[in-house]
Amino acid sequence: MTATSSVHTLTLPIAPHSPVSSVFPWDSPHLREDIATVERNRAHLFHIRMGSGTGTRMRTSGYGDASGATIDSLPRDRLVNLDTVVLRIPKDREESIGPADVRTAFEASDTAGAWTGCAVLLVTGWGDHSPRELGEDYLLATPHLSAAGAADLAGELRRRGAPLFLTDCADVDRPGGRHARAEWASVVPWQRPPWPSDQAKAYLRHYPAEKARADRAVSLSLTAVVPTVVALAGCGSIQADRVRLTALPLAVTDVAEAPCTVVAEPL
Amino acid sequence: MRTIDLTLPLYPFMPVGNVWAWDSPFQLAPIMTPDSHGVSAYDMSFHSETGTRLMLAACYADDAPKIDELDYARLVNRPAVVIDIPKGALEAIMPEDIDATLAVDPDVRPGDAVLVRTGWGDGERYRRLGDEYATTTPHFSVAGAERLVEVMREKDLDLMLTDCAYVGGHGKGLQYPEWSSRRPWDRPPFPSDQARIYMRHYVGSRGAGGTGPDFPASVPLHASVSPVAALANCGSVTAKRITVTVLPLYLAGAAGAPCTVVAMEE
Repeated sequence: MTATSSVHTLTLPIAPHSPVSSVFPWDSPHLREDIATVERNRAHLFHIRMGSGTGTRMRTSGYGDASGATIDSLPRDRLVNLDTVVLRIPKDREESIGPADVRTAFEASDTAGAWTGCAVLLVTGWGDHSPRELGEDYLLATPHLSAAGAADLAGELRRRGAPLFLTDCADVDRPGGRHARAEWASVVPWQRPPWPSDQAKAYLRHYPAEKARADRAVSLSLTAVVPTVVALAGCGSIQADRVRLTALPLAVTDVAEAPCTVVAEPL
Repeated sequence: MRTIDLTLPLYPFMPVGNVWAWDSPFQLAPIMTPDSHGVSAYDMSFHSETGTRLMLAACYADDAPKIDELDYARLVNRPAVVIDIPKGALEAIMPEDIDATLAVDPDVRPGDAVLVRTGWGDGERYRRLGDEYATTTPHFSVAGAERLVEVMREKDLDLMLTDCAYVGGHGKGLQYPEWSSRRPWDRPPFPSDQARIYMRHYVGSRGAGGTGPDFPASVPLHASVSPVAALANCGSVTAKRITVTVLPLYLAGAAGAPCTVVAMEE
């Protein structure tokens, strides 16, 4: 965002090996390679590789349900110019968001009258940190929702008919949950190269659905209710309690997770 | 308000990004699926000009602003005017097309974005034609591009969107005869050895690049009007005046990127 712009970009810049999607075995790190350069070819074009969970990303109900909604099936009017309520729940590294946090934040948002039909942006302040400075901790130490907090949040989102939920937590689960965090992320990075390494493929062969779903219980409970966008950045630039927000994912067909660009404007 | 998606869907080996030697086709491979792991994750590869994309002056000038350095007020809820210039396969948009439309259109207002609609992106033609959707696209002649830039400057317009798959030409000087006219299995795309070798020989001294015979109209358009190319489904827009939002994949330091485009009309 420029200093004078009325539009806030709330999107994590995608840079090579940025931590959101370069830690776990299912992460395909963002890589670039020049194909053509101005110096040699009079134009700059480059090859891109990345995982669907890179950076700021959107997930739909198809994330954990093969018959669920895909990114391309979402009606675009539920992603564009959304009247959005900003919930502020300040949290720092490793902290979880529980039922009391959720209840207090929604009560505060109702001060000017109970609302329905708005998107919800949950701001913890985590997205105002620098991924470059924190490295893998930007993902691994992110604030996240407890199971009980997620259940209450999902209930509020459903009751109020929210079309979209967004947050600056790098993930809504504690990344890696109980299983992959202990089995994979506890090892030094050079002994756990991410996808498509042989190690990552071997790990995933031994990572059954029961573990994978348990490690993502919060994501699954939220995406079952509402499309969810995580890892927003720069939300500290928003002072208002309501904004007009647009979140447009990369237009990949038949997937339930995709990188997404998010912007907000004053209402 | 009706919201219309004007973005070319990204599916494996879709044509825009699959024909030139510098193309790295869109590919998608499952890492986890609901069937295998109860959740889904994918590995994707593509290139900076795959599908509907925002192109910047930085494509030709390393010191120009990049994707994460733009003022997004220029790209979000931007008032736009639709300009119809119907064109078919291989046809070029000429200066007289601009003079007969944009230059005299009473609906154009200062600060507008301009959507140049040829009809090429309609009816899922990309699925029917495959790679020919890219190699036979309507495009701008050099003079047509220069006239468009001139008129847009006069009218204080700085963002141009179009359903042409490529704006600058169709590689007729070098890339089409040397690469894209060959059978697909004789031109495996980047990062193949063949593509890398071709690109080592596709150099400025041979006349390659935007200032050469291949895509010559690209340079004036990139420099002045940040073209958004390869829109689809523009025929669904019924209003003359609309609002558009263009959000690119937020690649740090990138000279261009695939983007998602929506139009809103009353």
